[in-house]
Amino acid sequence: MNEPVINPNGRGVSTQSTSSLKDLVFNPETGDFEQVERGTANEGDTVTKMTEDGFA
Amino acid sequence: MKCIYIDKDEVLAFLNSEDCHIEGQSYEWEGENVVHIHTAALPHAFGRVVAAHWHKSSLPSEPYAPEHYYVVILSDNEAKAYYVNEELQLEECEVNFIPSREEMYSRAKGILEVDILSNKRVMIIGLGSFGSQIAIELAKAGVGEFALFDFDRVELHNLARHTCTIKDLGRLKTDAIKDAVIGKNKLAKVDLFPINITDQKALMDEQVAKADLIICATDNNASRFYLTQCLLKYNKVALFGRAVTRAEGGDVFRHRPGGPCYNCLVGSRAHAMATEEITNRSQLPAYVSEEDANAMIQVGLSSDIEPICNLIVKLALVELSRGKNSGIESLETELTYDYYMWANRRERRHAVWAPFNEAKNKPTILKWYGARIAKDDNCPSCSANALLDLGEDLNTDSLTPNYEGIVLETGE
Repeated sequence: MNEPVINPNGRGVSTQSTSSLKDLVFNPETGDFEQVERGTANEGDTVTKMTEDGFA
Repeated sequence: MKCIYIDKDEVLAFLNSEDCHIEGQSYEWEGENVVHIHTAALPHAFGRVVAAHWHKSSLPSEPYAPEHYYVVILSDNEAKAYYVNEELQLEECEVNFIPSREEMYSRAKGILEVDILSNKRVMIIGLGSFGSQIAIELAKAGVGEFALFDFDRVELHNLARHTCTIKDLGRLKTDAIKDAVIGKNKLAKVDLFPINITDQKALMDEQVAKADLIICATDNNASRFYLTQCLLKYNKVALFGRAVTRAEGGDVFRHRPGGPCYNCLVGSRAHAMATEEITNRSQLPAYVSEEDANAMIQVGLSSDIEPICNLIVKLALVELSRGKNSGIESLETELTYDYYMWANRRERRHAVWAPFNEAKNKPTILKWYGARIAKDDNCPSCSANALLDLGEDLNTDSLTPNYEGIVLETGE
């Protein structure tokens, strides 16, 4: 579904509903991180949030 | 005895010319007895400027000008140099050659062959603390062509983390980094674009299409999403690097054709917010929030950034030498993740990570971790249902009509 959004600058941005930010959960067996939907990690998992903030 | 440096490429050019004598210029570090002598004045050089004369085969007959240097080129590997003092006496100097391009990288032979990278073109967008370091490292490795993008100038607050120095204050970062690149790889071809990439679509298209690899080191999401659209159009590989909040850590994302894109990684919320970003921040670097500015002084931010730059350089070299017998081809089968994370300190995003000395089965600081990122089937940038704003020359033949998606408006 298209949900038109007008930002304060007067420019329109249409957003398609899509997946939200995912989290990264550490897999101690592989030593890698794995993506999961935010809020679905198991208790005890090491969860690192994906962030859109922060830059070089 | 004064120690003279002359450039072998200039020696060869002089020997191959019809001139028997040319007037060049020398740059002397007073008190150090070190002198660099060139066949012509350099646009950016240091040291006391002293006139220099180049001759073939032998010294000229007198008179000699006092306080001038005389270089006699005997062959491409042999030269003599003299300094004429105030008493008009010739003082012989020690001559050293600045090696030719291939010789400069001879120490790297067996690790990285020069020819593999000499015809590679790397586009670097953003010449801040990341981009500046990456450009110089790739120059050291032998990359032959650069397209450098940044509209900013070197300012005082950059110095703690940037490769530029006090002498570069006020200069465009593109100019300053070009000098640094040439200083490492004197035959590198460097094209400069002191522009905002979102203002020049046609130019961006042209440069992305020409590049063998794109490195994004900008400080805002708007530029990253915009670049993503270009990458998708031209099926290019790119590396996105960043530090997060006070360089507590950072990450690297590798975009490959057919794989997840930056929007698959950070999500559409960031994409929608991108047009609202204020990129012209105060004098704070992007990874320092306003509230943190008055917090405890954080030392060593440059060293926090270096590991992230190092991985970007490694990934870049793997991409550029892919399929070649380069000496680092083993990394092609090891550096296979889409996304890499690094933590310098256990703060904020990395607060739940384990202490370095108690890691056991948990992630910890000062180590790299990889993740495979799923391609988002509903991604507004790269999915089959995406409507991409790719400029006036967009070829829509392959796109399905009458669908809904994101339209990102950039510029005025």
